Amino acid sequence: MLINSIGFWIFFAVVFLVYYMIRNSRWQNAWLAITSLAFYGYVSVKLLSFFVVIIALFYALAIGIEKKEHIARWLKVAGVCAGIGILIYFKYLNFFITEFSALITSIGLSANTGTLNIIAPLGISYFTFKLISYIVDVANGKVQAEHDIVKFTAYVAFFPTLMSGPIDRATTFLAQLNNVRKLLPNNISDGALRILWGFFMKACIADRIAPYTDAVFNNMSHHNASSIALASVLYLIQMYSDFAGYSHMAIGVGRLLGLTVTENFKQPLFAVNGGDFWRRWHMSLSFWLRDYIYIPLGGSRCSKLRSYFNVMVTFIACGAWHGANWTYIIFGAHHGLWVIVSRIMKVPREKLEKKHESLKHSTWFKSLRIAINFVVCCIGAMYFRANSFNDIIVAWSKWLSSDWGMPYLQATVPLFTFGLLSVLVMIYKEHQDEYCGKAHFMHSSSRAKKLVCIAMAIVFIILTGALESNSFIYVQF
Amino acid sequence: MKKVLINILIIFAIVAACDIAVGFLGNKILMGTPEVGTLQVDAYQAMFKKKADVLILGSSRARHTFQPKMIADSTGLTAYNAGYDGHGMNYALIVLQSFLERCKPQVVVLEACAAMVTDEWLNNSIDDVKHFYGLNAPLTNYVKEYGSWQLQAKLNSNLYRLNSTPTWLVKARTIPSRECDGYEPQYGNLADTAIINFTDFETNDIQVKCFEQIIETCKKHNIKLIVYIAPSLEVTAKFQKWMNDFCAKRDVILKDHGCDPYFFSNRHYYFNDSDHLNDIGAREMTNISIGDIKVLVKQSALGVA
Repeated sequence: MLINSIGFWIFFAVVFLVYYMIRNSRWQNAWLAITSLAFYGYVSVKLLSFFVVIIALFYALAIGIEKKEHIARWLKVAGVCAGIGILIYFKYLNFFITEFSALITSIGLSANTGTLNIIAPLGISYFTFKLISYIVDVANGKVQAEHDIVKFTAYVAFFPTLMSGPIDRATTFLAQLNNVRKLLPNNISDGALRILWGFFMKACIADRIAPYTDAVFNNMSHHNASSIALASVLYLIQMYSDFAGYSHMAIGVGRLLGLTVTENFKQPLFAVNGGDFWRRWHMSLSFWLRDYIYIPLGGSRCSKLRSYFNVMVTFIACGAWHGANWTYIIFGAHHGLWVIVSRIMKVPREKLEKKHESLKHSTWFKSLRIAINFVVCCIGAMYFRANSFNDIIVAWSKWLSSDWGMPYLQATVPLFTFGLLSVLVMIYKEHQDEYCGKAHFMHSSSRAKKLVCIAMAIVFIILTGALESNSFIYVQF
Repeated sequence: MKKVLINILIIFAIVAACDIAVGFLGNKILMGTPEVGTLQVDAYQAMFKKKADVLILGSSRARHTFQPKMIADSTGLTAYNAGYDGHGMNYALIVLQSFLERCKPQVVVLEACAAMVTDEWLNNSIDDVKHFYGLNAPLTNYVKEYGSWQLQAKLNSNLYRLNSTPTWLVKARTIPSRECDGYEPQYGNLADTAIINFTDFETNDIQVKCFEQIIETCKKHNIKLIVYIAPSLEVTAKFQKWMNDFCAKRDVILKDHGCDPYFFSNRHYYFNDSDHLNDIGAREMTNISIGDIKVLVKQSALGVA
């Protein structure tokens, strides 16, 4: 039951109606917890009991940390290890077995290791990160242990963010569950607009691009360098539209329920360097990695070399979070390297800007920096989407060869007409959000303009969007 | 809250007005689409316009295999190829029923492949022609009988029904119009000639029901039906056995050329890709079918059941 399916919206309508009929925060939380668990059970009934046990375990650990100070440190370690252990078992064990087997075979020994039949629980990467951050924050005194298990369940299992994030922190989310949520006009209009924009990004952009990128990335060796380059550019836009689309919808649903969900994207296509990109892209994950890996490792308050090492470790962890595949590790390492390069380039750039004062405010210079960052991120997108390490080699060998020519453009009429138009609309909106505030399109101050824009957006989505999609890129994680 | 409700009502009214306007305009444009030989336009021709004595049904394998012009030249009968890429028995049934509203073919040639009777193409077949919902009676009846409640609900909206049609409608208006017979030649030569064996095969109830309805409809209207399995290097032995049993039980003529040694021995010459013949292979296959069609037409003239 994906967020863009009719089933989800019927489910949500029931949740919404009952939710606002309840005039008590405890019962509202209970209703959220029940419906979230029901949602989880509907999608993956086999693993519901596992999910409940995990919630109970972390609930008990946090209370233990608070009450038994003398063993709090050990309980924190146990919680973190449990979270990482769950992730390793469900996501990486088979990867380690296959890689170990390959290593043994490569040194001439025979390895007869089969893989395990493991089904990863839905949204495992998201809820384990939520739980780890909660335990660490409780241990560090940033947040009090939650004694109300119903409220805690509503936080961990909150159904709009369960499958694909954003990864909400207990510090911001739990406090919102203390008060009764009332049906407010602002929440309704803001939530609905976020959902509509999310639908637009998903149906009119991501799913219009998907057939092209699938065609190229699934048969990389049959395509020339320009096709792979075009597919890489398109895949970055697809990945952004798909994931940001989902995040907008999840945030919108949260808003309709009177809850503020963490923002996940902030015009990342307008980032000027690696660090800036990760302050705008999948923010709930990148800030999580910053707070729970990068800073504990020493962050940037150490030698330059050590801080670069910390960056690399953080970004390789970021890549590995996406899944057990070398392509994700390379994706992480690529971005880590780009962040380091951006830091190294900071000094000469600032010197240059000092020398030529006009550069600091030059649109062209900023556009150039945005373009360079965009190209680097497109290469990263290629690593992310490549089916295997071999495909990455194929892509690079084609890019470095003379195999450039007309890109593959067959069967892409909807993409290069309405898809492209939608991309332009998105870029225009993002540009306005970034530089001009939000007084445009559906946020226009003129009521008539606003209503017509919303109606036209609905018409455009239904008439030109790819409406039969049944997957989101980030749901698989 | 009152203001929000009024806003919602205004938005709903604008969308509803657009829905009606787009529906009206869309229908006008759809029904005036010129014949240009693209897949979607050929579907329109098959469902609304064409008449033929020999009707060819099936998927892309039919579309790239049977040449109506050759059949017409040899038999003196008119022929039309209504094969559509990635479409199953449900689409074939809709086209046959649409034809019967305009004319009665003497012979129906049905090219069958495994995907046509499994659930692989069940939804594609309808999704690609959903813009004709409400305009084409067989399609409308099919959706009412077999479509999910979600699909039926969504098809009440003209915007949804016409989703994605602007792209191919614009394309159709930019290509010079020409008369087409539904056949689309392929001129490639297969490089990799390995035979691929598929073991998975599970029929879909709706597709099988539609296949049965095709057989019944042909019998009811005294139309000669002949089923072909065209040569393919993608072999699903289970499907071929199932098809043999199915046709034998229902007394339907089946010509199984799926693993025909004549085509297999010169596969790089006759095949465009592992599942489709090229123009040379198609000519050979059409020649074979012409002999069969002639026999059927003769039987029909003599009144042999």
